[in-house]
Amino acid sequence: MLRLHCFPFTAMGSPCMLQLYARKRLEAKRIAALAMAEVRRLEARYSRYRPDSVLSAINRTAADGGTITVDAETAQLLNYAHVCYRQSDGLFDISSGLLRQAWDFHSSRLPEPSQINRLLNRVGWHKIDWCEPLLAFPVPGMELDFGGIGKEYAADRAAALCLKHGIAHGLIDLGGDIKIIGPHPDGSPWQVGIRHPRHPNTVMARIPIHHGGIASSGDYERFMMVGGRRYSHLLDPETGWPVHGVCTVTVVAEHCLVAGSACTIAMLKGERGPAWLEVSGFHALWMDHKRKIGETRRAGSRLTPVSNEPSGFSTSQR
Amino acid sequence: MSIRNDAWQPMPAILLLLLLTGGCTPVAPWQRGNLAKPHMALETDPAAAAVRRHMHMSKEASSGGYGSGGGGCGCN
Amino acid sequence: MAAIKKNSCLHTLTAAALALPGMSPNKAAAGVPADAVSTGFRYSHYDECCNRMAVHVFQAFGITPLGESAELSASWVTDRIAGASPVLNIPFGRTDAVAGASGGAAKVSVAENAASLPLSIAARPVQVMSSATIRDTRNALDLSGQYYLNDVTIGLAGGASDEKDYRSYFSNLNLRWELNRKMTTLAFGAGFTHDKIMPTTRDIKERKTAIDSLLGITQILDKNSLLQANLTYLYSSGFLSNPYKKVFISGGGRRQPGLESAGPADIFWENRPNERHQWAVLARYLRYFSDWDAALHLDYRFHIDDWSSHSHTIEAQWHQPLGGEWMLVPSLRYYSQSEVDFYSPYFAAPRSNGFYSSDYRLSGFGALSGGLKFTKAFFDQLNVHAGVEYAVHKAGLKLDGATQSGFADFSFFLISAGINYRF
Repeated sequence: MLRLHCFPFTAMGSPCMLQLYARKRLEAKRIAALAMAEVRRLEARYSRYRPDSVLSAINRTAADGGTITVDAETAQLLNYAHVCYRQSDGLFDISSGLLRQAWDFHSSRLPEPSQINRLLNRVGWHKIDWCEPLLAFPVPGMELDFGGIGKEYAADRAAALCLKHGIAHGLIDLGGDIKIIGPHPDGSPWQVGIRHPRHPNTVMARIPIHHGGIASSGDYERFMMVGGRRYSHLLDPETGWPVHGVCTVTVVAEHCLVAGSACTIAMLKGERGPAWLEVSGFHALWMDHKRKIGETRRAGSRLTPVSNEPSGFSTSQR
Repeated sequence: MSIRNDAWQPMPAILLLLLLTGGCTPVAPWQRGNLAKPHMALETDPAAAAVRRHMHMSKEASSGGYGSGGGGCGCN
Repeated sequence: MAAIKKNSCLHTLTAAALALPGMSPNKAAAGVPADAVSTGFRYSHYDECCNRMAVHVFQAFGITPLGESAELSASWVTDRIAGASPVLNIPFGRTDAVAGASGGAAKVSVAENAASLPLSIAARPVQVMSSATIRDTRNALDLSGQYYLNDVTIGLAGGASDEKDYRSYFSNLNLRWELNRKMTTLAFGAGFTHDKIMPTTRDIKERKTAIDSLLGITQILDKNSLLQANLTYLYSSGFLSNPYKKVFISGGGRRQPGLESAGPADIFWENRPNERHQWAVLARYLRYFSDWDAALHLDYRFHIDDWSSHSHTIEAQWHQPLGGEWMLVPSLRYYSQSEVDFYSPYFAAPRSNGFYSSDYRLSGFGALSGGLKFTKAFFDQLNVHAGVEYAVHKAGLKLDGATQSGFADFSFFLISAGINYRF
């Protein structure tokens, strides 16, 4: 008889949870340990905060304007980031993290335009020469980060690992980036709750999912209110200023990685985000500033809007 | 470069589909829960199917359609 | 075509994501190897009415994963056969000539609707059964392995079947290719069979070989339905006659080459061509009904061969979960075949090409059957099932209704019970 075993842990600066169906707790625990080790391995490689990470080594080279040879896994992640950059017409840019230096969301103060312009000189994936496996930084002082990719990739990898070890039913949740390994043992889908962007303790909709990945992005994660206007952490790499469009976007895709980058791109597209999701063929749900919920035609009204339901964790059983 | 290649990769499959199945809606993996149910398998009980097909093969003049498997018999 | 352009961004990102190491194929896809050892046993009892054939079928099977991307399965079947089978039809009034021919106490039954016979010489033909001592055991072993690559599954199978008077060796190779984001599966298969025929009552040893091939496509239509279409071709050559069946040919048969006397005058061993080409098209439609949590399985098969016979088969099954892990499966099947060109209950005159058969299986008839099966699962590991099926074979059930004789008329039932266990 399969039983659900839950393993909460913290990684990549977020609360995470593995929910695995297995016959014995010991078996679930063994596989959960493997999945957690995989998440931690990726955290160690791609964390901005760890000086011994691959990403820190890249950023040291970037600061000096040098050239670095990267390993195969990093190369594939950079290729993926490159595809995102091109598909988003330059909005999804892994070099835009530098702009955070100008935006202090705890200060309630807008940055000086001159400060942003100075930073923009060192922002732009097109300023970097990426010729696998060589990554060259002709402009010194740039910086990369894998936000919107790393955690999502880790969720996909952890799920693949569980599947490989015989877990067919379960769910990986890395701080809200979710990958479903497989439905509940009776075949019923997981009900994934979507956080309400203005009432973070409630869910605005529930999505039943049997397989695949789901990720959300919203202006509620980090923001400040200045003069009654909301300035969020979603910064346009062209202007250096926060985008205004929709409050939150959720994308369902086969891979959590694709869902994660797609919802980030849609947020960065601002008001054009919903239209872009539609023509790009995504299954997506969003809420605009008038608190109107929209979804792509493909999502086919499978989403269940919920009002004022407490959002214990982002997922619930049935 | 890579965009072009990727976009064209599903082409042969889609062409074949247009020939065979006209207008079917793409079904994403997370929507395939119903198709994954055990009673939606093409072969829900292979052992029972094997007995029935053997029985039909030995009482009727037709065989085939379901793929090869099993051997002949001197069934009377 | 517009759909491709529309999806290009999703496609591009997905393709780029798949280039990353360790991105798993989805479990919802068809090609996933077994993840646990499972085994099962099944007993079936086949019984034809009016004391004809009865068969006890014992099956044992098991499947085990081999590493992470392969599986091995084996199945064993033992058939215990006992009873009588029709051997010959003769015009009424000639019964006395046959008593000795069938070796012992032959059963003689009078066919019901003989009046509709087109033959002028026969008032009322009779069907002669074999002596009631056909007793045989068939043992068959089937081994198969499947290897799962990313989008391709390769399967190899082989086995043997052994009877006192018949031995068969078979092998086949099959390939499945999933494409179009696993919405479509293409299947290719090829098989080879080699049979040896050693009838117990005749001093002959014969051979027969067959090659078969399959081309199939399975397409997910929407989130609740899928369609499979298969085309198969089977080529058989060698001794394709049934070595126990006889024919009655009124006069002249003796002079024909390839025709062997089976004792009394006018009675010969049946003689079929030594080649046969068969084609079959199978369409299977599966649909899920969420209101009932039920699944409808519909099969239609059209079969045609170069012995100028063809057949239609239509079958429907309804899989209805009842709660508490119970499942009820009622089913219906209808089959109709036209006769081969060298079939006749008996022959009023010799045929020019020398091929004759009075085997009821080659006659024109229809069959209608209905079945009911119960399944109960326990703890996702143990599965118990029991079922019954009843079928009526009748010349009058043939699609165009043009009946010729009642020789193919009989009925049978099949009861079965089994158990599956997953470790």
